[in-house]
Amino acid sequence: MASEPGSRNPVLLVGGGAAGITAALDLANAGRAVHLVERGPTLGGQIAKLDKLYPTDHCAFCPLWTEVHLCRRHPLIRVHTLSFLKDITQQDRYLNAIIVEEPHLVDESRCIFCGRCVEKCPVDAIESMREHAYPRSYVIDADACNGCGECMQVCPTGAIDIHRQEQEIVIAAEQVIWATGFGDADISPLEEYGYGTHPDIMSSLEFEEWIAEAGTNKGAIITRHSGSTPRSIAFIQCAGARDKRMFPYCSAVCCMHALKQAQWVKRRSPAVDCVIFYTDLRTEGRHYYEYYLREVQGSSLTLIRGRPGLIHPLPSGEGIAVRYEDTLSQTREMRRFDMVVLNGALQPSLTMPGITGHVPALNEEGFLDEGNGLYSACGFCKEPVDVETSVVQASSAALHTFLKREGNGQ
Amino acid sequence: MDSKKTVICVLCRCYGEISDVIDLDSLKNMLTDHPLVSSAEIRDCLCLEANLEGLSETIRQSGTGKVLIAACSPLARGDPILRGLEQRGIHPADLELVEIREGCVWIHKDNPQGATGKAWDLINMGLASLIRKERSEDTTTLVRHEVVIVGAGPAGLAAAASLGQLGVKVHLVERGKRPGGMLNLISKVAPDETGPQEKLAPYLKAVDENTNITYYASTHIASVEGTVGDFAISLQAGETGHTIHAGAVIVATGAQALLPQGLYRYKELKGVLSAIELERHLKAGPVQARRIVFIQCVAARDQARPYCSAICCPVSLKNAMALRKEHPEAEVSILHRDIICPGSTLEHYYRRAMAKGVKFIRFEEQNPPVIEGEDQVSTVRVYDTATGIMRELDTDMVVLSTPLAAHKDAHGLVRMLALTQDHLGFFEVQPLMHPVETTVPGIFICGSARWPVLADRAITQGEAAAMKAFCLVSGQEIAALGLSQFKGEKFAIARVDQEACTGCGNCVHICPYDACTLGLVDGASKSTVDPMRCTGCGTCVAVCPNGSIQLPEQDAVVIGEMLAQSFS
Repeated sequence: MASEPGSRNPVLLVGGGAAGITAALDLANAGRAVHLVERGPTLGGQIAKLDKLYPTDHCAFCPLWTEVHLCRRHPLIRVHTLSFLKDITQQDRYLNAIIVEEPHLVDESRCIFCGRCVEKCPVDAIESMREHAYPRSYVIDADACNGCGECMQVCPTGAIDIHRQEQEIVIAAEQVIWATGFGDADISPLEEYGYGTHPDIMSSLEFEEWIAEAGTNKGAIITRHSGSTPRSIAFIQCAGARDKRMFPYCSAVCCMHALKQAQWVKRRSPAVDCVIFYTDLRTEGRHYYEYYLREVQGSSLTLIRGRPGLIHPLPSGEGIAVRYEDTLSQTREMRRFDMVVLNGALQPSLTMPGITGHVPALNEEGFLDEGNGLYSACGFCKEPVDVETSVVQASSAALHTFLKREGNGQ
Repeated sequence: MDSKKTVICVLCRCYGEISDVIDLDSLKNMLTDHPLVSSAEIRDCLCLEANLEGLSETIRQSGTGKVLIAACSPLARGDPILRGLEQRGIHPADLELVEIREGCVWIHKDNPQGATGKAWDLINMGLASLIRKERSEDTTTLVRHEVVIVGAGPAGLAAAASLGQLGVKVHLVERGKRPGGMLNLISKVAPDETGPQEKLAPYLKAVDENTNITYYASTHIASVEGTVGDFAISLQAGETGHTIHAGAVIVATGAQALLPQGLYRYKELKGVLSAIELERHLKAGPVQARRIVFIQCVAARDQARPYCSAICCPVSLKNAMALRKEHPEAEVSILHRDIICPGSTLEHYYRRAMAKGVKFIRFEEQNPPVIEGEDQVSTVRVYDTATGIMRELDTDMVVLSTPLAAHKDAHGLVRMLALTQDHLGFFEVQPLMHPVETTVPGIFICGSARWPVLADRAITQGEAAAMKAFCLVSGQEIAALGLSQFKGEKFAIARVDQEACTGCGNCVHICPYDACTLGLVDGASKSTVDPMRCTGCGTCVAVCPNGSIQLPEQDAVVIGEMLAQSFS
């Protein structure tokens, strides 16, 4: 199947997070057609999953939503959600790309979000998109679906068709920009962190969703295993990062992320004792250090310089023991926490398990090197960066697609 | 037909989502009797394409003009309804969407009667707004395909070269003689260790050769007039001045290296240097010192300067490695509070410095190193937090890593461009998704003027600013109502009733975007609003003592009448 927008020297953008959206809008605003390919059901990437953003402490929804909205309604941007890039080949001046669009079993443009399908589904295969999704609709897990068709019967607008098939879309693009971002890495191979041994040992992205106002607990700070308010939470920095056994790089966003999470825990449950175990506090961005000062001076947050050597559930199951050396006092200690948040093991998405489709050549850490002429890259798939730097890179990558055209004399 | 009955009301059932709770039939009956309503009807799922077609046909046939739609939130399917009708030729000023699903039905499911009452109030408020609201007058400006770039450091040069290559006419204004900015002062660029001239070469070549780019050396900005699309900028070079025009302005004025006056016996002992002085030495030739101590975060990350300057750690790593390379027997230590090397490249750079034999000693802010010596520095004493030992380092040279600080004289440019500075003196930018954009449309900031950055990132920011400027100047004209970085279109543009305005100037002082100005109209002082600068925020409306400045879309009378309808 061929597709619009076919003309106007289209650019293929892989990844619909902050960087992808920014690059798409910049390109389209300068007159280029864009195919924006996103793996997930909605645009927004990791920001859409964040509760609050540092250093403004604003909710992530508003700044992102307007951009998503502009992307969705821009006549030159064609958004492909639930899609991935299957293959890409060069043909003369053009690249031929095959995009696989998984079936949208619920048609977003017809769904009124009434929820009748969810109530009716006998196997719980239908899930609502997260609160920050736009357009917000439902996603049917095709693997869990038993094909009974009850949802189609009950849907008042005829938005659901569980027999829709995935389709392949062939597009010709002049250039490709990769903006595939990052994801949570599985840190269980590093056994000392105890990931997977206790429900309250979480990765920081899991914790974000756990405490988010738009998340599971609507902003309440509770433990996973008992639902009670925790007395203490440990934030472990550089867990799996700056570590030769896993990721030698620094993930760049985690220090501020932990400070932000600790602050929001404190705001919502002031009695919770928050301790951040850090190596270097990397607060170099715009107004980040002031955020740190405000946080440390304004709340009873504790910072301990040291990377714990062992994190282990207590035999009773109530609480988690953290053994560490405080490198500032050179003392070895053991402390009990109710929750442990592991921060740092973020990996570029293209190296994540289960990734399908075409993957360009990556460097040994899994990042995309600066373009080989065929593509540009921006955001976390290029190097670990925060949102601001990511969108700056995105605009720069958009510019480079124009410069390359000029360079090619097109 | 009664001439006042001009509104068609359409109530959406939403396949029972709304009609199962709210008594739509009685609402419809009440609306039919309403003095403003010509007809009322109930329909299903207005948001579906097929239903939209029917609805727009009905509206066209009725010829009454104004339409009130009671349906779901614009965040849900409301926006597709409004856009669908707009696309079918119905003017947005004639449309009012009243949200009766999310904020009414869904939260009052257990109280149908109350929900119906609330929906009636909401609809009446919508009617009050619809019947009176106006649309702000739009104006357009022809766009000049030219960009002025202030500052020819790495960020400004990258922006200039990119725009020049894209065929945009560029005026690159530099107050110094040479382009290159801070890179002219340093030996090598961290972290890739290219020479500064090598780093700048492609951009300098473009400035030299590309006929689209005009370079103005030793030139200051004397004044700035106009708004986005058509700025007029007066340049001053010595005694001569002339005016250039541009559609957009990119500020890339950089920052300055702070000198460690009065700290760590700087200027008092020989051998105590600032980082920028070491750069000069390294540039000039081999450094004789063999025992060198770098001290990080000098006058940074403290109460007076509560920020991390981001460049000092990589720069010290670079220079420490250079000193070790020159003299492999040299003892080089970096005393730091945290090594701030985020990401992959910089973290590896840090590892490499360790592997190259650079020593790292961490100290605490409240327990800083002490410099000893009579005439020449001899020893640095520092409490090493990792071992708990007071270390005494025999030292020939101490390098004080001070942060980049905002230019002290930046406020002149800030005022001319109607921008703002943060309390540290750096140019304010939009947060998060718009980091090179300012509150003034058409003015962009990149490089260390907005926040200290390494050269590579400054170049990337220069390119990002160039991209934003390119989007702007590649168009033919700009419409004031389309000028919003955030929403794609403005809600409103403030309007002054010239007869009522007393010229008190409250709006001029309060406007965050410098859109209001006082001028003489028929001999009296009156406020005027620049539609290109106004964002429709409404702050001026709040401070106007007699209500002479209003947003046409929602003026005081509209709000008053809406309030009168609420809680009826």
